[in-house]
This record gives sequence, C-alpha cells and structure tokens, in this order.
Amino acid sequence: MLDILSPLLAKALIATIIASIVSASISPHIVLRGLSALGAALAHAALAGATLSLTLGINPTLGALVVSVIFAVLSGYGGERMGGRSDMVIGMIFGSSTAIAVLAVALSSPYISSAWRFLVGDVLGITDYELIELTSLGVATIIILIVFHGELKYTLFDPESAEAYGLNVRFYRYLVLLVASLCTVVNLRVVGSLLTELLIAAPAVIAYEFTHSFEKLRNQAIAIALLSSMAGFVVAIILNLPISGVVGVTMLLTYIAASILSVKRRRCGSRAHIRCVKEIFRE
Amino acid sequence: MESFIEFIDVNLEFNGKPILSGISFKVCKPELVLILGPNGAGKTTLLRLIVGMLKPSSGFVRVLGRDPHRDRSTRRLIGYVPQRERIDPSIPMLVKDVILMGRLLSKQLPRIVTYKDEEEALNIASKLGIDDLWYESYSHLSGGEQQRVLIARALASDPRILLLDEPFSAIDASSMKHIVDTVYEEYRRGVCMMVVLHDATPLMEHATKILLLNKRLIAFGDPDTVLREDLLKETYMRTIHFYVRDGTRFMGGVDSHA
Repeated sequence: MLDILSPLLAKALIATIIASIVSASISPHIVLRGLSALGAALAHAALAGATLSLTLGINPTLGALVVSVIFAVLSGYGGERMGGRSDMVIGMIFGSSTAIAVLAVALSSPYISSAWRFLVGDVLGITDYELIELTSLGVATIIILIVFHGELKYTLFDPESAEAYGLNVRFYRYLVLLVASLCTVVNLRVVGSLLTELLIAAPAVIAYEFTHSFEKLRNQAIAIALLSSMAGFVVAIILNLPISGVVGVTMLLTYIAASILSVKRRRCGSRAHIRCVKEIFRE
Repeated sequence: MESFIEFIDVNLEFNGKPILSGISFKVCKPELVLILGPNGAGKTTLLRLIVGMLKPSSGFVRVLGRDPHRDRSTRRLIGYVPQRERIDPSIPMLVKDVILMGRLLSKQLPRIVTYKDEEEALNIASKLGIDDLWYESYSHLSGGEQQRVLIARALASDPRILLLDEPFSAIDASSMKHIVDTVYEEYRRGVCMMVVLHDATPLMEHATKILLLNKRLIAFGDPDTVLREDLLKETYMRTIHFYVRDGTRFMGGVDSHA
C-alpha cells in the first residue's frame, strides 16, 4: 500500500511540490516574454554543468547553477546584440549545451547512472542534502519573484514606459534569466532536464486560457502545476511508473482539457461579437 | 527661475546618422506645447530625450534643472504616454493594473499598493470616463479606451510634466473629447504638457506654444507667430493650409498618422 509517510516518498513529494511552485511562479514571465525555448536551452546547460561536475568531482548542483547562469547571461547578451532576436541565440545555446552534456556524459562513464538521473529526473532518489539545496534555491527564487513582482510585470507589459519611469529594464530582463536558471536547477533532480521546459512553460500556457489578470494567471499556474504534478506523482507511484514521465503526460492532458474548456476563448468570441454589433449600430 | 524643460544645442546621432540637430528651446512655465512635424521628424525621439531614455550625442537636456538621463529620480516627475501601438496587448493586464503602474512606479521600493493609491487611481479613471472599466482586460478595450487608460496611468503618478505621443491616433470621438478636456484641465492645474501630434487640430485652440520639428527645430513660439504657411511648408516639405474658422485654428493637408 502507498505509504505517504515513508521518508522516501515524503521527500519526493516535498521536492515535487517545491519544483511545481517554483516553475509555475516563473512560468508567466518566461512564456509571456517569448522565452519558452530558453527553458529547454537552460535545462540542457544545467545538465551539462551537472555532468561536468560529476566528472570533475565537484557538487553537481553548483556546477548546474554556474553553467546555466553563464548560458542565461549569454542568451540575454546575445539577444541584445541581435536586436532582441534571442531565439537565434537560444538555438545556439541549446545545441552547444547539448553537445557539452553529451561529451560530459561520455567522460563521466563511471557516473553514468548519476548523469542519467539528471537527464530524466529521479525524485525518489533525492537525498536529504539535495532536498535542502533544492529548497534553498526554491525559496531564493520565490523571494526574488515576490520582491520584484511589480517591476517584472510592468517591464513585461510596457518596457518603454517602465524605462520612462526610471526602471532599469535591462536589469529586470537579466533578473528573469537568472531566476529561470535557478528554477532549472531546482527541476533538474525532480523531473530531469528533458521535462524541465514542460514544467516551466506549461502552467502559464494552460492558465492563459482562463484569465486576463497577471496575478490570476500566476496563481492559476501554481494551482495547475501543483494539481498536475500531485496527480502525476500519485498515479506514478500506484502504477510503478517514472514520476517525471507521468507528471509530463498529466501536464499535457491538462493543456488539452484547458484548450477545449477555455473560458477565455469563448468570452473573447462573444466580446468580439458584441463589439462588432456595437460598431454596426454606431455606423 | 528653474525652467521646466531646456534644450541647449542638442544633437543626436545614431550610427553616424543625424536624428536631431542643433535643438535649442526653453519652456519656463507650465505650457501646453504641441510638437508638430512629419513622420520621421524626430518627435518621439525628442520626448525620449526629455524623459531621459536617450542621451544626447552633444548638447544638454535639462528637466526641472536636472539631467534626466543621469538622474533617474527626475523621471518620477514626468508622466509619459507612449504610442499605444507599441504595447503588446497579449499580456494579461486589467485596467486597474495598468493605471496603478503609474502610481506604483513613481514610489520608492518597496512599491506596495495602498487603499489611498487605489482610491486616487480610481478618481483619475473617473475623470477620463473609464472607471466602469476598472476590472476589464486592457486588451479588450477599444483604441480610444486604451488611450484613456494610458493617460490615466501617466496622471496617476501626479507628474509635473506630461508627455503624450500621438494620443489621437485611431480613436473615437468620445475618447478624443475626454482626452482634450483632461489635457487642458491638467495644464490649467499647472502641469507642463508636451504633446506630439501629426495633425494639431484637436488641441489647437488650447495650445500655448507650438514646436515645429523636422530633424531640426524649425520654429518654437506662440501659435500666432509660429503657425505660418511658410514655416509649415518648411516643416512638412509641402504646402499645408492653415485657416481659422469661428475662432478655431485648423490645419489642412496633413495626412492622418499611420
């Protein structure tokens, strides 16, 4: 029988909850800034950092953090040099970080099982120390997002006016990239680099179907991420399936259901209709 | 006496190409200044220099006695309304969030919304006739309503100087009237207004100064002295008809702004 009180499952559950909350909190900033692909690129950078660290015998979380932050800064700088076209730079980062990761995995053959855990996640194998690391990074991420909530929201909505009000828009763009790196490292042990992008992008994409308020979008994204990951977690434990895979599939099913049930699309449709009728009468 | 806005021989170049050349003018007291010129004349650039988003290649810009580019705190005294088209409507924002943005960003950290902030922001929305849209999505509004929301946001910061970039671009008559009334009322309250317009007709009767611009300053002064067909022709590079009917000035032959 499922024993939720067993230390193994309890730790896995806490790690999954933290990863869900952290991913969903950054999700609106990443998706609405058009940086969804960055999640995948940073996840591969973090994988490269973690596997390289295993080879060099240093802390893999630290390695993942350092490499993903470097790549995040490079993507921001490269995007500026390309006149805001960060997609080209992200593509480069994605490819190069994957190449480094492949080489690092090959070089870390004695640690191949550990490297595999960073690729697909192994939340049940999480240690006490790793849980503390993950919690610390998660708390840091959430604090940054709470403290700079308004600034990040306004620089996203209207960067020109935010700049006119004295905000350093460039600083906040890099802050989002830094927070995305932290979030990627949090996810690495839980769902692995392959599914990190989904956990970062999907919550906001799903919530976007239901709301027109930024705060509601964030809150709904957190609720969706928590419910999907919890459901996936329980199903995976019961059916003895990989947790990361089931969480990913649950997210996908939630997105399909949200697209079908989208309140926003229907309401937008009716509003457009009303506006059209009004304009006809005005004429 | 401290001037509101002062340009001293300002030049701005980008990649070696002159954008603005030798601009000098001074606004000593609250005025309602219309900045007129054709597309590409540098009107928006002039506003960006005032707000400190751009640094002159040479010369000096002084706003309330300070350099707005170096001293970011100056920007809190300026309300800025950009062209509506430059805002991404796909970002989920309620009208109240947009208006409170002006209120909050004029504060120091931590920027927390108080009951008083909401009350004052709502009062401004009411002046512009958009208080009933408080909980509506910004992206669902008509162009005129969106423009009024952006002006309410700028006013919510209680600015001493208000800069408006093409506020009448593609808006309905009701919104235009609300905006004209509000701009004039704020000017009378002591706010210095700089309004970039392609066609000045809606605000012509209230303007106290006109600035004609086409990469260089063609003229700056009272409407009676500046609104001459020869100066308008020099500005727009073609004949612009200017006439007065029932005491109101009209400009003809200015294309509607794209």
